[in-house]
Amino acid sequence: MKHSRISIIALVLMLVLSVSLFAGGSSDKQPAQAAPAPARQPSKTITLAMVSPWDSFIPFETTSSYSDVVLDLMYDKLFYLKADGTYLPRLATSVDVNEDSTVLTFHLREDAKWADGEPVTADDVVFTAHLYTSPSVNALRKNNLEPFAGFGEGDGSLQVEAIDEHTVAFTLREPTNVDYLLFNKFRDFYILPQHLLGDVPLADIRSASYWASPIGSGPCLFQSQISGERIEFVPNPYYYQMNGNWEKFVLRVVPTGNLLAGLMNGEIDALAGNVGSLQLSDWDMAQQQPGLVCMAAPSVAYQYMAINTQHLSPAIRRAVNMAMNRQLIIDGLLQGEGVAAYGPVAPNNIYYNPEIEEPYNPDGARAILAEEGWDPNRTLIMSVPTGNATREQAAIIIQQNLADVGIKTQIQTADFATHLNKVRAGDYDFGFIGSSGSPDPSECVINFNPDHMNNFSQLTDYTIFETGDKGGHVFTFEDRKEAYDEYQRLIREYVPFAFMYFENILYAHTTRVEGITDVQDYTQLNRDVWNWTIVE
Amino acid sequence: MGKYVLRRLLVAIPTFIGITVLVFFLSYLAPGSPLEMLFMDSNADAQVMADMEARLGLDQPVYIQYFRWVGQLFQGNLGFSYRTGLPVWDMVAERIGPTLLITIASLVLSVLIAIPLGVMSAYKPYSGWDYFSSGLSFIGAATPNFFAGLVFIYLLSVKVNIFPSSGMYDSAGAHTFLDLVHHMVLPTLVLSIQQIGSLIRQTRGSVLEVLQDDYIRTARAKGCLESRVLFRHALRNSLSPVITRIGSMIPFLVGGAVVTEQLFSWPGLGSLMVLSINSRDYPVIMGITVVIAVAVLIGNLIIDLIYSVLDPRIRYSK
Repeated sequence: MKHSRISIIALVLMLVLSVSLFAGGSSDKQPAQAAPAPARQPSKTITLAMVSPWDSFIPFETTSSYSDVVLDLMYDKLFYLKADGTYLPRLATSVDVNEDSTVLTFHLREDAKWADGEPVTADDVVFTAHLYTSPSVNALRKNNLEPFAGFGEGDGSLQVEAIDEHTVAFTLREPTNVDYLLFNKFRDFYILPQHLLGDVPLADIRSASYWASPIGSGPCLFQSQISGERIEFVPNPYYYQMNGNWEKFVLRVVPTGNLLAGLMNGEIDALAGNVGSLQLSDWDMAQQQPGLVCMAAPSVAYQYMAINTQHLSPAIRRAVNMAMNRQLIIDGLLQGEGVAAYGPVAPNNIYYNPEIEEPYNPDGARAILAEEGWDPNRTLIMSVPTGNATREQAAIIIQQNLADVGIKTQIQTADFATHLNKVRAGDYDFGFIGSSGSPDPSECVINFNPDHMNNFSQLTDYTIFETGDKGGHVFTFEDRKEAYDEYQRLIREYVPFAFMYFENILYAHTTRVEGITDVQDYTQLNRDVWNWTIVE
Repeated sequence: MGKYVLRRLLVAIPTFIGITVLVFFLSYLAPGSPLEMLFMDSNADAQVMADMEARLGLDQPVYIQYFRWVGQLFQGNLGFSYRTGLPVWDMVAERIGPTLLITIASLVLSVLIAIPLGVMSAYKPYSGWDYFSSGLSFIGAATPNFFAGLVFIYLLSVKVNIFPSSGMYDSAGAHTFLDLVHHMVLPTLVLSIQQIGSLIRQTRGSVLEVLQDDYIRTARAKGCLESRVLFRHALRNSLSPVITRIGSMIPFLVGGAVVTEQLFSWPGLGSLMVLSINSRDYPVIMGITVVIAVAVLIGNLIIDLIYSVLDPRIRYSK
């Protein structure tokens, strides 16, 4: 009797516990069950997902590509850069270059407005340029405007001038190619409002209350944020090219492994592309989902293995380059979602020089190693950063490739900060790194400058850098092609980096949203969300 | 009691200082610098990097940086994040709520499930109850958080679609309490599983031992109601080790929250800590350390105080 009473008490207790266990779920369970997946989104909200949080709303104070997603939504830029190397008007309708290529004149739209209704003028561009380059501000991104006259000479010294309300001219230190400037220097130049920030002393600019709720001239107007989880926007009511019908735009941080789940159950509508794409293991399943549109977009982002030129001779580096079976990585590891990389310029780029290709030739590699008297007992250090599973697996394949020709290696993995520190210090033989790349062939040139901190391969010779740098200071396609052809030939000859692959962006969005087309352009830090529409 | 609390607080001070010294110097000893991570952009050069190093005070010796940090702490200032430029206190304050939500919910859930199951298991050893709760206990204790998380996401979010797979709120509409609770369910469950497993075992063992004691037999012989014997005499007297276990769960929960928050994109201290470690954001690492250390020290103090309530034999004042 007593035992049965105890059992009854226990049962009641368990019942109470079960109720409390699912208390949260039960109250919400009904609407969630009653509503099929897409209904989780309200009719006029678009949710975009990226895989890591932003760090700042201050455009000149970050170098994070996650922050760039946010900044591109809030602030306008001069041009919409495309992955094929062309560009479309955005805040600037056109750019003129004077005869000797020393002055760039941007013509701005006359109907562009800040989200508070004030017009965007040439003075805003001048103000922004001075803010980026002010020694008092000492911004992280100040070097973006380093090619312009007056740079580093004091606050307001940069030679940028408002010709009239909608025309602004930048004067260069020396003749420079406009494509080079647009893709390398203006890519993350976000225009800021002088009327809201102009009165803040430069020394206090970072702590201005403006950054808590910025008013930009981009397509989205900031509403609220949950730090590290989401930012909510409404449309900028004055955005000049708004074609979308959304009323709310939510940018969310979602781990890579949850992206497909989020798309399938309607929590998110679209991925951010280069900073939010599906993992390979989810790709087949994603393509089988009826409510998803999947596209594998070619990317200009590439992975490479920096080789310490102070440890290995050019001949040995060439042997390493020959020993790498890139096709095996593409077919086996990337499941065909990528192309082999022999240099920083993608094979479909108009500046690509096929002479850079080093076919897989293990016999050739062995012959060189024998000729060079390679010691098969020597073990080389392969430094691999964590955080990119495909790259970590590629390192294992390359380790095997090198072992096949008689080069022993030891893989050392570390988190990215540790790895970068080692590679910059030259404490390695092979260092794995990735780059977001660029349609412009000049993107990687700086890494071959022996004086630059990203001289990962510890070069002491300026030849590759100077050859590549020429391409930024000549003006016809033919002249640039000649410069970059030679640059690519030199990369093959000296092999400071052994390039591995360009990996496709595995993109998906729900059928609920239309107008998402040029995913490959996302690597250029622009997303045309103003064209995205919700289909009811 | 007052003296005891004061004494515990005084002991906590050197412990706290020790924690900050250890974490500060270990962070600095780790290879990689915040500058490496701040300057991923190839447009930057060594001069810009050097300017930034001076601005952040990273050009000073480590012990100077530590004392400067301690000086700021005494003024109630945790400094500014290298990564975001925001005050660390603001960043930590934003994240503390979400972490407390899931850790407290998980603690409550673990206690509510594990203690009754453990008691019943001990009361009827080798019965169906016992096998059920022991099985649950083994499964819970042996299941890593990330694995449980993936299974729950697959089953409850993708397959059945009753719970969201990440975040705190739906994109839709206002951020309501119910919406929050709905999003809390999976992270809380995942965070609770291991704790439930170990707490069931602890409770079972403890109650089983007490049930063999003479005073229990005496109580039964005097005709005490069985429920009174079990819940009043046995349970209360077996709670001390259980409370110790619950106390030790606090740091484990905070640790578990790191994985769980990452998995569910839950914007708490754990995910901020991972981000800060990856970017070598020392001021934020230290800020979170301070908060967690204080929380654990206070948690331990509370647990000690509960002992005295449960077991009057413990005389703290002596």
